[in-house]
Amino acid sequence: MPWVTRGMRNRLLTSTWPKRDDAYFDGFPAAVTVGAAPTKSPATDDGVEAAVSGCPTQAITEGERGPQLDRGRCILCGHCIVAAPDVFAWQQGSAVARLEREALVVEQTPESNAALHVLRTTLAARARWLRRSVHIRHVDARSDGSDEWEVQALTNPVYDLHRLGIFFTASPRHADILGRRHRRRHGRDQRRADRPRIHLRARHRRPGRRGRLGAGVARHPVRVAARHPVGVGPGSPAAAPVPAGER
Amino acid sequence: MTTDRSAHAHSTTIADVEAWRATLTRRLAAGERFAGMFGTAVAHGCRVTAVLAGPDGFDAVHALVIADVSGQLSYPALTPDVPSAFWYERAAHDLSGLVPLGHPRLDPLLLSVESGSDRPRPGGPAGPNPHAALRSTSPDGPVDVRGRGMFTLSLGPIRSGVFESIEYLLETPGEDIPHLNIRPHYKHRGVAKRFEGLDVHDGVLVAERVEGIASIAHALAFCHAAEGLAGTEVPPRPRLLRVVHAELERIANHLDVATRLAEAAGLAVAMSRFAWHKEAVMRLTSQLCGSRFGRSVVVPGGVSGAPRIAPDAAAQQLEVISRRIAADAALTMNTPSFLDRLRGTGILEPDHARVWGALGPVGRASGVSDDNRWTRPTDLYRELCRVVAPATADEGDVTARLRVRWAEIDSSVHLAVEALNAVGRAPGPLCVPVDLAEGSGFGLGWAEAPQDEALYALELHDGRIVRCFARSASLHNLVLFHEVFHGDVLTDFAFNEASFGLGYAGVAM
Repeated sequence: MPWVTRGMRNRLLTSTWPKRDDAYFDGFPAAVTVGAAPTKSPATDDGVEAAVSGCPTQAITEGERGPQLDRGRCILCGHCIVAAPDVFAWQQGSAVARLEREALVVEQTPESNAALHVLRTTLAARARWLRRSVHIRHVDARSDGSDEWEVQALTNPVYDLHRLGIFFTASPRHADILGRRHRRRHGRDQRRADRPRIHLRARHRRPGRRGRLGAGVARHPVRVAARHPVGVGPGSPAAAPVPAGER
Repeated sequence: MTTDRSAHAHSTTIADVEAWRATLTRRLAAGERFAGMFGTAVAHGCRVTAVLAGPDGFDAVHALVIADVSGQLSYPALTPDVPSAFWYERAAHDLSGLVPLGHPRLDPLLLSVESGSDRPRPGGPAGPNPHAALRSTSPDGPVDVRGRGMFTLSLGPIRSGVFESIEYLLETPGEDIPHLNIRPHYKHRGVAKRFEGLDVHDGVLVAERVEGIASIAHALAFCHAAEGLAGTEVPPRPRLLRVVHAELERIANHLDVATRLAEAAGLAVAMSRFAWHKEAVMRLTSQLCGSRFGRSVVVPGGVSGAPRIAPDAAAQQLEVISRRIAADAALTMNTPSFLDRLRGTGILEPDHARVWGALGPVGRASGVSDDNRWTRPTDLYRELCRVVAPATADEGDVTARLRVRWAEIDSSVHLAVEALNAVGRAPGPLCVPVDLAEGSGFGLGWAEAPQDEALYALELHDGRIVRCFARSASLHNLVLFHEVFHGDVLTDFAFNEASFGLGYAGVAM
């Protein structure tokens, strides 16, 4: 009995994101941003050069329009921000996942609203077939252990993934999505689940059988956008620090 | 201020491997503890290094194993006389190709490759990619208990739920578990080779990711080794900030254990509340440094930056969280349905714990009281730990391990609050230079991780890492998991596993 009242003691702890803004989501420095330096100077150029050569995962390259940061390789170590603080900075906000791996490369020109609209529409179209809930089967493919903590955190009362209709399942037969932790996804500390490389597999309903349970995976599962990533987050795949001689 | 670390880390080389073995057995019989062993590829053979822990610090004892005419690197095994070398010799065989003659079970532990293929050989030049020779399917595991009705239940490597990959081979007649074997090699990550060629400022980034849930402890152990090599004295202010983050990490880890135990027992409200407290601690960590796991905080020479919120505000938040934890812990330890599952489950006998060198909360709950924050203090723990005592228990069961963790949460809160209150008036810059650009040498560093002791052996040549042995806390303790099933049934497995509180990434290097 005491546990019943204890459970109600602190009232509602759950975030109302995405319906409403969440201060932690909006304030968390989930990525590094690249901006144009206010004044071009030798000191800035030296700083950028130091950032390029000093990046432990070779995530920064010099592009035509200035330095480019590949967030897929970035491990958020912050070395570039120390080397060139007028070009690189922490970006507040956790909305850093992208639909395509290539979109994780950050240039100086920001994404336009039109591009964001296309992204959202495409994602919504792909997700529509999942109807009202999705079951994810998690597989650890050489994570460092912190990824599991963050994925498990999604079911804590603060995030409560279940209210969004997303569940984790123990059986691959019951899964809509396979979520694979890539071993190179280090060091990102996003508030939401990092979106892994997700392979979609629709469960094929056998004739005459309805419902999710028991449908299982037929001999020839229908693959929707077979093995096409539907969501990738920064750090997929990020390389481990590269010895300096090879930079 | 004393440079405790460099004064207490020694390195000795004994040319003859037989003499090396005799020295080790003599010193261990005299009371020192076996802390780890690894191989480093050198010309014509392999240097084998054993690390011993004494009351004042650590000693590394090296010997050279010369390859014989067929290229084999064999030496007389330590395990028959030193049980706690059991897994280390298997790991050295997997990674360095050392062959311990007389080892009772030389099955793959960290790496499963086709027989005869190249080993990664840490310390040596990068050879052909050993991962090309990874076995795509594992052979059947060993079977140690035979009898009527016995079968082997393979739990993993892909676990049901959000867990790290590891395989447990449970030998059972159906209900209880007379024996189990553990195979962590599915998750081999090639960590040993990752360090090579990096300087210490990049090496600490790899160290943080050896065991992601104990990033601070691993970064501390690595930085202590580097600072010892450079002879750097870290000022008080960054030392205090290091203590704050290390203790916050400890609290989060212990809350994770409590959450998983409550989940295993079906106490949904307790599980949710402990998960909430853990989330609060991780958010506090991220408010202080921008990273929920404290990544990129501990750097060689100090810390990377000042706290991003005022220390006294952080201390107040921590005290609020601590009061909530204490209240929920008290209720949990008064819940009979919960305690019934824990009492007498997963007993690690004190004798076993001592012989195998159990560490951390697992060892302390079985009477092996060795906490580096008290025994071999670094980072101002000597001053801060005067008013709190290490937590110990004797029963060795899951309850005892949980009670040790509750006590450690209390002392961690106390240490972190003391450190936060002292940071404002502590002298010193946040980071001092660690000049190892041309540095060469061998150093040892350690820290008390939430799981147990994180120990790093670092060898540099011209400022670049030649070999970094990252002895994670979990690698040392997981071997004890074989010893805790005395009549426990399959449904007790979750409690035993949660009570160990280990990170398998730290095992599967």
